Parts: sequence; structure tokens; C-alpha cells
Amino acid sequence: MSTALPAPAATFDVSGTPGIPFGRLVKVELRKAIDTRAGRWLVGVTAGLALVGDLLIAIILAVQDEALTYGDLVAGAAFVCSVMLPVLGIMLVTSEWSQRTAMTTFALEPRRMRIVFAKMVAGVLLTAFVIAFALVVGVLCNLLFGVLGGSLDWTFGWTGFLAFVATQTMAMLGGFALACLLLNTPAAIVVFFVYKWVLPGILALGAALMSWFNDIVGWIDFQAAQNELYDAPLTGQQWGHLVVSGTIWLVIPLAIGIWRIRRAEVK
Amino acid sequence: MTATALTTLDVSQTPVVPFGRLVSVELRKLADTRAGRWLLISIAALTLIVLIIQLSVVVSQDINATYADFMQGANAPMGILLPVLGIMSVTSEWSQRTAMVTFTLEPSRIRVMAAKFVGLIILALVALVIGLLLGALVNLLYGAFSGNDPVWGSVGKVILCYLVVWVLGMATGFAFGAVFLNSAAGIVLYFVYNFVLPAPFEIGAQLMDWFDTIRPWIDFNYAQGPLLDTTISGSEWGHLVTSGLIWLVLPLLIGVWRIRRAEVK
Repeated sequence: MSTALPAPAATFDVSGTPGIPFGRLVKVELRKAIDTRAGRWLVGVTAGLALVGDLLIAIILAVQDEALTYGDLVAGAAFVCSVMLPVLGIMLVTSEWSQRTAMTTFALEPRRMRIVFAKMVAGVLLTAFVIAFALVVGVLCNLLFGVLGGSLDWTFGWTGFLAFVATQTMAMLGGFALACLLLNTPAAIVVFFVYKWVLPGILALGAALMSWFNDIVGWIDFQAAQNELYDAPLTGQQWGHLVVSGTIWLVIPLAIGIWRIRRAEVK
Repeated sequence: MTATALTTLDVSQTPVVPFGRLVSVELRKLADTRAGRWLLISIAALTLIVLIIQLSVVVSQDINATYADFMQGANAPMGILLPVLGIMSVTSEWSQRTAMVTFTLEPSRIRVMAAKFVGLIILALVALVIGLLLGALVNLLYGAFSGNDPVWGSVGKVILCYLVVWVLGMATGFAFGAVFLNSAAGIVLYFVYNFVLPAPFEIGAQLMDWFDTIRPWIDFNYAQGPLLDTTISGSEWGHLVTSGLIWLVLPLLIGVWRIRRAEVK
């Protein structure tokens, strides 16, 4: 007597399928950042505001007969970009949760860390794009300044350029880290703006009032530490300030945030 | 031969939803989700924390402080977060997709918006009471710890000024939310207006005399400065009204027009 073996359950063998290459993940994340109306407007508004800001600076200073260097124009554009780039970094992460696309994303690539790093790389690439745009706008506006009667001055230098790249990238990453920590768009945006615009004033006030606080504020204030980059080379202590304050505001939120994303319920 | 009458649901005699009920529903929406409740709790908690820090610094450094100074401290969290509450009260209706239900139950969108607005003003009044009480408590503690007599100044003027500041803040947030109908865009642009714009305004005022002259009339943040110092008087009220037309009334009108026409998704 022989019993028929039960038919093997149909299986879907993906063990031979290669993993998704990291480059493709980055490409997908880049596309996600700009192929919705919201994302495209964010990048567009950032670039547009940098253009308007530089145009205003060039025209006003030319009319008022003041001096202007290329470095000033880049600083103007950097000011605008540093407001919007972190928002881009925030939305890269949080929109995944608020728009409920996390389920699809993490089903297609279950290794969440790779997604987080792909998003980070995409954020850095977009930052590079905005920086390149700001530099070009600076050139055009400086030429405009010359046409309007100002004397052209191309003073900028590698120090300024490298500091500009570094501060913009850290601004974007700062937003990214807070977004990983909070996984909620409004909360991350509010906390980031408070950190960026309210906290320096409070820290300066505290330092002015209390001498013990004045001694430690350099180690806490990440933004003041970043501004030193424009006056490179840095002293050993300034590097120390940058590393310690950067650990507090960038590395720790990012570490907690990544731990949270690894464990967060995907809804 | 008789045709069967079509069953109809006759609501022509049903009275409209009373406005008071709409307001109470909108108030409830602000507080009965986890996000909303925590936002309210964190505003009050942050205010208390800021005041305690301010108190300890003032006492330990032997600085003279008045009731108005403590209210300025309380304004740090309140002034930032109340407008966010105003923005989210409008935009969450669109991002959480509850607008369909809301506008089906009350198709007159203007009434819903008015109810939201009234709900926010009520909340601003509650915030005012909490802020004033916490400020008074800290001022009394300051008197006890520092040995100085607590300075109350003109309490009526303090109440009036912060009533105006917080109602205006809430209303400005509401207006920004209505214009953009999107939490992220509303919050970012509100903060840009609130934190970033003063810098270019300041630079412009220093570079150009004519701009310096008109600045108080067009810079709503600048015009609110005398309110925070509780020193506002005379033409400064005029500054507040004209700049408010630009930054509060105009966005509010655009927002209401937009909400009347916006597709409910």
C-alpha cells in the first residue's frame, strides 16, 4: 500500500534573486523627493528664494553704492538655502510615515538601514544640487552688480566654499536626524526651527548672564561652532567644539532615530 | 396604474446645526487626538519649564525682574506653539482627510471655518489665563526667593498686551494654514515669516532710510515688539493694524476664498 506524497506547497523561491543594488535605492529616493507636487515645489521654492534674495542684494547694494563681493552673494544664498534644505531632509524621512508609503518601501526592501542610508545619500545629492545652483546664481548676480555700476569683486576662496558646503550639508543632516527621531513632519519642523532660530539667542543670553554657562556654551552651540568654519583653519579647541556639539545635535538624535526606525511599527 | 413613489429623505424641516455645537466640536477636535492633546500639554509644560529656568537664573544672578518680564518668558513657548496649533487646526482637516466628513455634515464651509476660528480664540483665552497665572506664581516665588518685593507694574496693560499678542499669533497661524492647506508648508512659511524675515527687514532698514520709515507699518513682527514690552501706545497701535492687514487679514481672506473652492479629498 502506497500513500501518495502530499503535493509540495507552491513556494516562491527568491533565494537566487540578487538584492536591490544601493544605487537603485538612492535613485528611487531621489525620485521620491522631487516627483510629487510638494517635493518639486520645495526644491523649486528653495532655488527661487535663493535667486530672489541674491537679486535683491545685488540691486539694493548697487543702487546704494555699497561694496559687494562674490562671497557675500554666496552667503546670501546660503542663508536662504539653510532655511529650506533641512525641511527637505525632514520631509524625506517623515513623509514616508505620514503618507503611509513606509509599508511599500519596507516590503520591497526589508533592510530598513539601507533605506535610511539611501535617503541620506539622496539628501546629500540634493544639497549638492542646491549648492551648485547657489554658486551659479551668485555668479549671475555678481555680473548684474557689475552691470549696474558696482565694482566686481570675486573674492570667495576655497575656505568659504568648503565651509559653505559643510554647513549646508550639516543643516540638511540636522533636519534629517530630527526627522528620524520624531518621525512626524510638524513636530520635526517645529523642533528644528526652534533649535535653529530660537536656541542660539537663549544660549547667548544664558552665557551673558552666567559665567559658568559661558564656559560651556562653546561645547553646546553647534551653530556657533559651524560658523567658525568660515574662518578656517580652526584651532584644536574649535575642532573640539565642532565635534562635541555635533555629537549632541547630530549624532545622538540620528542614532536614537535610526534605532527607532528599525523598531517602529510600519502603519 | 400608479407608479411607486420614490422614497425620499426629507431634511428640509431639520434645523441647521447650531453654531455653538460646531464650536464645541472644533474644540474637541483640538484636544481628543493624541497629537492634539500632547501639543496642548507640551505648550503648558514648556511654559512652566521656561519660567522656572528664568526664575532660577534671575534669582541666582540677582537680576531685577517684573511681572512683564516673566510674561515675556512665558511668551517664548506660547508665541511659537500657539500659531502652530492654529495652523494644524485647519490643515489637519485636509491631511487627515476628515474634511469630507466635516463638510458633508456641515456643507457651509464658512460656518465650519468660523467655528474653528472661534474655538481657537477660546483656546487662546485659556492659554492667556494659564500664562497669567503661571507668570503670577513665578513672580510671587521671585519675591519670596530674592527678598525683593515682586513688581507687578500695570497688570491691566500686561493682560491686554498678551491677550492681543496671543490672539493675533493664533489668528496668524490660522490664516497661514488656510492659505496653504498643508501642515508642512504652513508651518515652514509661518516660521520663515516669524524668524527669518526680521533679518532681511533689519538689513533693509539699515541700508535704506525710506525703508526704515515704512518698516513699522509693514513688519508685523516688529509692530508686535511694543506689545511684548507692554509699552505700546499711540501710533504703535496704527503700526499693528496696518501691518496686520498685510500679514493676517490678507492671508485670511485668500485662505477663506481658497477653502470655499478647494476640492475636498
